[in-house]
Amino acid sequence: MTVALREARRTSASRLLGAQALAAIVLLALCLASLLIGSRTVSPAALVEALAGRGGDDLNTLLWEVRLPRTIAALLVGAALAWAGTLMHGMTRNPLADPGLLGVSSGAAFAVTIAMTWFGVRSATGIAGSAVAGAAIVTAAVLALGLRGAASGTKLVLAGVAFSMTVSGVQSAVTLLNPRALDAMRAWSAGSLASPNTSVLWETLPLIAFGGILAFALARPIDALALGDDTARGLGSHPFFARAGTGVAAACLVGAATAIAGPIGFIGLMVPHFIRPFTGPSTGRMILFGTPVGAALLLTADILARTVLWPGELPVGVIAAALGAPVILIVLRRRA
Amino acid sequence: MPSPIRRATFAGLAALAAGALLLTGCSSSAAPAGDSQSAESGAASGAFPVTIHNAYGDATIDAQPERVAALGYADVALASALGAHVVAAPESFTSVAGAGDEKNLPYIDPLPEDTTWLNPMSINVEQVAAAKPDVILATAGFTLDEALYAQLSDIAPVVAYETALYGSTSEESALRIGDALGKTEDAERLITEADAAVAAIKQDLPGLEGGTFLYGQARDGVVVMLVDEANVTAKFMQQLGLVALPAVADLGGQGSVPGAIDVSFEQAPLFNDAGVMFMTFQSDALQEKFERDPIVSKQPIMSERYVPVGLEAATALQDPNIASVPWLLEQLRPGLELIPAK
Repeated sequence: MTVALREARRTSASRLLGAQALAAIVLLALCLASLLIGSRTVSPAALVEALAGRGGDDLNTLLWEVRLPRTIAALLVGAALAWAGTLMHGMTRNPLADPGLLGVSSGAAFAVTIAMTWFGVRSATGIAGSAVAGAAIVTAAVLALGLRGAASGTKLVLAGVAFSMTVSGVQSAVTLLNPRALDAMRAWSAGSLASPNTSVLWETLPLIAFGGILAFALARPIDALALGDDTARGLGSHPFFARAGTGVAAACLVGAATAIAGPIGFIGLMVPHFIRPFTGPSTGRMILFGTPVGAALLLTADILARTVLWPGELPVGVIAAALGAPVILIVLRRRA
Repeated sequence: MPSPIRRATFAGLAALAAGALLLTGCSSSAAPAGDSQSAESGAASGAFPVTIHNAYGDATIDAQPERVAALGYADVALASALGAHVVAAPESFTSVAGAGDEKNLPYIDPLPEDTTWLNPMSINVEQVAAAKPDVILATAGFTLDEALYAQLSDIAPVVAYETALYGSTSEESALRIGDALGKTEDAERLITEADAAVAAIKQDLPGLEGGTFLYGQARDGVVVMLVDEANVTAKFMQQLGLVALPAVADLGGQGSVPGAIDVSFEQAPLFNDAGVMFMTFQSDALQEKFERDPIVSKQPIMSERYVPVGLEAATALQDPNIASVPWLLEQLRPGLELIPAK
């Protein structure tokens, strides 16, 4: 039996390794495509010219000041959302636990709007800070409401939905009271990667790194939680710290992602479902493999967002939602 | 709960009322236009009762209105320019957006202190009723629909658009309001003045004839360029002799509004050949984003012939009414002067 188990683990490990390699190749190809494809198409030859330093001002600006930051932003935000989604997923054992659905992203965006309109916040640090604060408040509230007493998945999602509603209600009230907020809100209502603020990108990098490290560190405690609080305690992990840690990591990751791109839903929802067939339920493996998958998913969405309405563009959040909504339906159908 | 009898009486009354409406409608169209007018003093040139055919039904104005409510910017501008007593008016977009306190439009003489200010984004019917108007002008009421029309019609006769919002020329709208207020001749005079203002600027600036323009609203990463005459703003520019820059106009693709093309910031090098590039913004943050974009900021046109347009001028351009034309041309003039002569 042990032999069979070991055998099974080895095959799944090699399967994961294969998938991992494939994901890395796809991601590289997407990065290249992301540099070349957009409202203006850059030919591979022109890219080579630019790399050789013979690109000319216009091409250099397009490649290194627009497409490259945009690609990096997509990679970072995609990975951060995948980590946050996987963590929330793993901790709540709920297939619908997504930072977007639970209102964490909209909470972060709302906090940025408030900070910008009422407190005149403009600096990258201010934007990142307020986004994380907003994400933290919503995460804490949703976890506190959803995990009180017997932890139940339904309760958590209901708490999340209730919170999203509250945020959007307060948001409408604020825009009615202060029309100036409406303008800021408009810019922060649909996630977009077009011309990301590069200083915000740099400011949030440590946050994303911290969230990522925390995510890996939390993988084992979260897996232990799945066996029930008592067993988890027996295995030497503290259920409270595991949950609180997940909240902190999710707040950092979603806050940073929102500060860069605005609220983007469904990436955190889709990634765990895509990768579970390859990784199995291990949170550590899911976080590892979810990194390139999340990044690739958002990059694909952004390339689509740049091209489907040529010569215009769509906000990437719209495409993410269009790709993600069917996933919810499939999840619901499978569970039914 | 209405009893069957009461319901029958009500139906009978409604039929009577409808009949009466029909009758007055007939009589107005049958009455010779000149007769009653000659009896009036010089200011009033219309004949009452007047029936206006709206997209949502007909409205009959029995006598020259004395208290006018206006729902759209063009409505209040024309009513004021025609000397009507305005009791309710839409507050300026600057005020709606919270960018300033001035509720009156910059090209309208100050309205009375007790004017009821309406939010044009969502018309409060009770507010309109409280102003006790005897006519409601809504040819440019952009939130008007059949339900709102029906509610407003219970207060006073409504003058709406004939077919669709922005579906008429500004001349037609001016004459429509002139007829409703009994000031057709004054409306014609305003049209002549607007035409003269256009002719004068075309004579002053020979670059206008055949020159190229871009007029857009910059959003997040995308400029909505108004290029086709299906868009009244583009049409206004065309009346000045300008054409939308072909390099952009010929891109094709879907626009966010009729007659527009959405163009990514990445395409900014195409903008350089425009004689002038007017740009409007929904907020200061979006203006900053546009001007700071790595590609946009490096284009020569940005330092040479790029002109940001203020909120009120942009709103006026969304539906240029006859009364606003002289002011609008004054606002655009510095930009129009940049257009190189051919």
